[in-house]
Amino acid sequence: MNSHTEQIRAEARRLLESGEVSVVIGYAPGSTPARATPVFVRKPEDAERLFWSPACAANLALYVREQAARGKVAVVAKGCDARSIVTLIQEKQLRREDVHVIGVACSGVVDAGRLASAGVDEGKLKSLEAGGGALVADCGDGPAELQREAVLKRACLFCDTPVPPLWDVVVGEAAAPSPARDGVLPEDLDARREFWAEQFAKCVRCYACRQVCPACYCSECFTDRLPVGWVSKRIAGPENWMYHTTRAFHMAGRCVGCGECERVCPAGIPIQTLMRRMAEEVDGLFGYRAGMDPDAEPVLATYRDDDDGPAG
Amino acid sequence: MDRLLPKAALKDWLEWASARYHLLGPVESEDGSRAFAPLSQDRLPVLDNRRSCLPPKEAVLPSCETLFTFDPGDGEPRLLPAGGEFAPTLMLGMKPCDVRSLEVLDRVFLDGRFQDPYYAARRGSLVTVAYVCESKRWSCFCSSVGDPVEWSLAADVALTDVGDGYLASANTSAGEELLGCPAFREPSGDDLARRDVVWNALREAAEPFDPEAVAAAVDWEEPAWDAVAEKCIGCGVCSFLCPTCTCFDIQDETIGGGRVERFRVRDTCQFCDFTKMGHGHNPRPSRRERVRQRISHKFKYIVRQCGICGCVGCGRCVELCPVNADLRGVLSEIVKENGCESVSA
Amino acid sequence: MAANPYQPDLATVEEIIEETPDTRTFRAVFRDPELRESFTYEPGQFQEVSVFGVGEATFCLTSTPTRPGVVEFSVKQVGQVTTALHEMSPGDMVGIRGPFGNWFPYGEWKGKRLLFIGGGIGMAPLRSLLNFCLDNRADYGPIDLIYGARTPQDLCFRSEFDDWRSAPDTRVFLTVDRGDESWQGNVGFVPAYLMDLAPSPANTIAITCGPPIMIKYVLESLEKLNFAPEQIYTTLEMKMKCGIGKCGRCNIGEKFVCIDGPVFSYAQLKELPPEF
Repeated sequence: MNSHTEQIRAEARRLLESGEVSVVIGYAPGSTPARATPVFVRKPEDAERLFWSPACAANLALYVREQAARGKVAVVAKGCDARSIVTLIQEKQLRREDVHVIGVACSGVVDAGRLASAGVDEGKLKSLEAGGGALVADCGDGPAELQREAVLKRACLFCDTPVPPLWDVVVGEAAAPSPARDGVLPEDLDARREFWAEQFAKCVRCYACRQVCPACYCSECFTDRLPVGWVSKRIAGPENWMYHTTRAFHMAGRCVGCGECERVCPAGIPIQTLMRRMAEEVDGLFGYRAGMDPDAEPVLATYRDDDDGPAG
Repeated sequence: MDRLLPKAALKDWLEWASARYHLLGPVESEDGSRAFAPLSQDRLPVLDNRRSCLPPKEAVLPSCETLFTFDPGDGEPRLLPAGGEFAPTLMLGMKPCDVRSLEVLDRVFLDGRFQDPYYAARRGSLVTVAYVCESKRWSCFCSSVGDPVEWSLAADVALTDVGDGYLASANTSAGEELLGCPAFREPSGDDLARRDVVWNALREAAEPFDPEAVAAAVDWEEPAWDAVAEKCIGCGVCSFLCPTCTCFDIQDETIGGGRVERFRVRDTCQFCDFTKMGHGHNPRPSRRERVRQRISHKFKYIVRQCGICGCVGCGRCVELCPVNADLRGVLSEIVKENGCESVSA
Repeated sequence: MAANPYQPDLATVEEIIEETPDTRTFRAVFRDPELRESFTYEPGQFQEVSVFGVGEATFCLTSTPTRPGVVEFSVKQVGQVTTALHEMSPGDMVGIRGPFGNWFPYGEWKGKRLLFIGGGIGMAPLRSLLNFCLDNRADYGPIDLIYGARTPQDLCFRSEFDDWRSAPDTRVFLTVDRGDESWQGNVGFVPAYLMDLAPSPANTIAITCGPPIMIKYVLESLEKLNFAPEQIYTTLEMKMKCGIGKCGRCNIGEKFVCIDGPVFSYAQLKELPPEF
C-alpha cells in the first residue's frame, strides 16, 4: 500500500470519528488495477475501502453538490477536481465550509480505455503504480514502465495544476507541470469543420459527457426542454453539432479541463479538445482560468468597463 | 455441415459472397476500436476477440429511423411510408454474444401481439456469420449467462479459428448455401479437434452464476440499488452500448412545407424523464428506481415476458461504465444477499 | 387498424365538448369511410392520438363500441399534445392508432351487480363500459355509479346523468369536494361517500378510476366493505410511446400497461411492484 493511500485513510478515519463530516467521497479499487470506482464512506472502519493509485481517474466533485446538501462532506480531489469544487463555490452551488478537500498532488491518471491501443492487456494487469514521475505496470512479466502519453487521460498531458489550488489537507508532491500542446485540431478552419463533423457523426447522444461533468448541474438541461425545442432528440450530425457546441459555450470559462468528458465518451470523441479551445478563447479575451480562485467572480457573469471586445 | 476456409482464401469467399450480399463486418477504426462497416477487397474484416464499440443492434434497429412522413397535400393529407428496401445483407464476424443478442431482439420485436415491421424488414434480410472468440476479454462473462458455443450455432454460419484456416459450420439453409463457395474444402480430423479445444475453452465460465439464480434473487428491495445509485451518473452508456437494450422514444419534427416526420430514436430508462408523465408524476423519480428497473428488467422481467435472459455477457457495460459500477459485482452481491447459489468474483 | 401498428389512421374532429374548464371530449370520425364503419374496440381499450408536428398521447376510448361510427376521447390539458388538442376546432385533423391494450372482462360479469366508482376525468374509461353495459342492459344486474369531482363544474359528462338515472335499475350517486350555492347533492370525497353508501359486495364487481390518491382510498374502502381483490377492477395510466409493447417505457415490473393493461384487477395489482 502506498503512502498516499495510508494518508487518505488516516484523514478519512479522523474526520469520521470526530463527526466533522458525514461522508468521505473517495476512490475504491475497481475491476482491474487500471480502474477505480467512487466510494462513499460513512463509518470510520470503512475508511479501509479508500485507496489512491494512477487509476483514480474520476472527478469526484461531481458528487459533492448533492451530498453536501445533507451535511459537510470530505472529498478526495486531484488538481482538476479541486478546481471543479472552486467553480461550484464561485457559482454558489456549494459553501466553502461544507466541503473538506483531501487534496492529492497528482502526476496524471490512466484512461483505461487507452490501454489496449498502447499494447497493454488490461486483463493481465497485476499492478499499476506511479513512482518518481513514472508509470509502472506489471502484466505478469514483471514491472515495465508505460509511456505516459499513450495511457494517461489525454487531459493530463496538458495539465498545469498538478497540485490542487484548494485544499484542507494535501497528500504527496507532484512534479512541476510541463503541459503539452493539444495538437489534435487542424489549423485550417475548413479542415477543422470537417474534423468536427466526422467526430460528431460518431456521437450516440448517451450524454455521458454531460452527466460526468461537475459543472453540468442544471436541473433541466437545454436538451431536455423539448417544448422549447433548442435541439431535437434526433441522433444525427446536425443535432449532435448543436448539442456539443451549445454545451461547449455553456462550459466557456467554467470547464477546468479534467477531461472526464473525453474519458467516458464511448465513441472516442475528443471532447476535451473542444472544451480546451473554449478555455483558451476565454483566457485570451479575459485573462481568466476556471476554478483557480474561490473568491473570483465567474467570468461570463461579470462585466468590467475595461473588457476588451469587438464593440470597443 | 462443416467446411474449412483457409485464411488466405477469406478474401475470395468475401468476393464470392459480395455478388449475393451487401457485406458488413468488423473493421479497425483509426483509434483502434472495432466497428461494423461495409466490407470490400480493400477493407477486410478483423477477426479477433475485440468487440465492436457499437453492438450489432444498429443493423436491425438503427439509433434513429423515420417511421413515416405526414404530408398535408393539397387538402388531401396522407401518410407516406418510410420506405426503404433492404438489400440482403451478410453480417460477418459477429461474436457469440452478438448473435445471441439478435435472438433477444427477435423475441421483443417479432413476437407478441404486434410485430414491429421496421425491425422485421431489416432482420428478414440479414444473414449472420458468427466468429467464435478464441479467448475472452477480462470483462466478458458470456459463459456465465449461457452457452456461447450454442449461441454461435444459431447464426447461419459459425467460424472458428483453427490455425491455418477457419472451420465453418453451417446451421441453416442460407448458411449451407454460403459454404457452397469453391474456396471451402473438407475439414480434417485435426481441424475439428482444434475447433473443439476453442469451443471448450469458451464454454468455461469466468463467473459461475446461473442466470436463473439471478432472476430468482433480484428483489424489489436490494441494498445494491442504493449502492449503485449513489455512484451511477445516470448517463446512457450502459443502455446505448448494450446489444439488447432497445428502448426508444418517438418524436415528431416539422420538416417544411407543412410536412411532419415522425421518427424513433434510442432512449434509456436511465434518463430522468423516461417515465415522467405530462402532468408531472414520475414513478421513477430518482436514480435508485431507475437502476433497479434496468437490472430487474435485464435479468428478471424480460425472462418472464419473453422467456430469455436479456443479458448476453458481452462486457461492454463493464468496460465502458464511467464509474466502473461493474454489473458482475452487483449481480454477485444480489445473489449472495439473497442466499442463492454463491458466486465467485 | 393499419398493418403497420406505428402508422395512425387519419380522422376529423367532428365535435369538441367542453366538459370542464380543463377537460374537453373530442368526437372524431375516421376519414376512410370503410374504417369509419368497421372500426371496433372493447370498453377499456385506449388509442394513441396524434397531433402531427407535436406528437402523440394516450387516451382511453370513452365512447362505447355499441354506438359505432364515432370515436370519443376526453382530454385534460396538462402538457404539449393535450394543449395542442385543446387549441383545435371542429374540422381539424388528428391521427389515431389503436385500439390497444386489454379491456374490461365484461363477459365474466354477466348477471352481476356493477358498481362504478369514478373521480374527475377518471370517469372517461368508466363511461365507455357504463354505456356499453346500459346498451346491453339485460346482461347485467343492478348498476350503481358513484361519481365525484372537486366542484360541480369539474364533473364530466353532465349531459348524460339523466340518461343514466333513467335507465332500468340504475342509480347515480354524485358528490363533490366543495359544493356551490346551487349544488343539492352530497358533499364529500368519493371514498368517504362510498363508505357512507356501504354497498354490499355480494355478486358485485367494482370498477374504479380516478386520481391516484382517490384510487388508493377507494381500494382501502372496498376492502373494508369486504370486497375481495378479484372483485375490484381499475385502469392505470403510464407514460407511453409505442402503445404496442416495444418501446419499453410503460412497464410495471414485468407487465406492460399497454399490453397486459391498462385494465387490471386489484388482485393483479397486488402482485405488481408499487411503481405507478
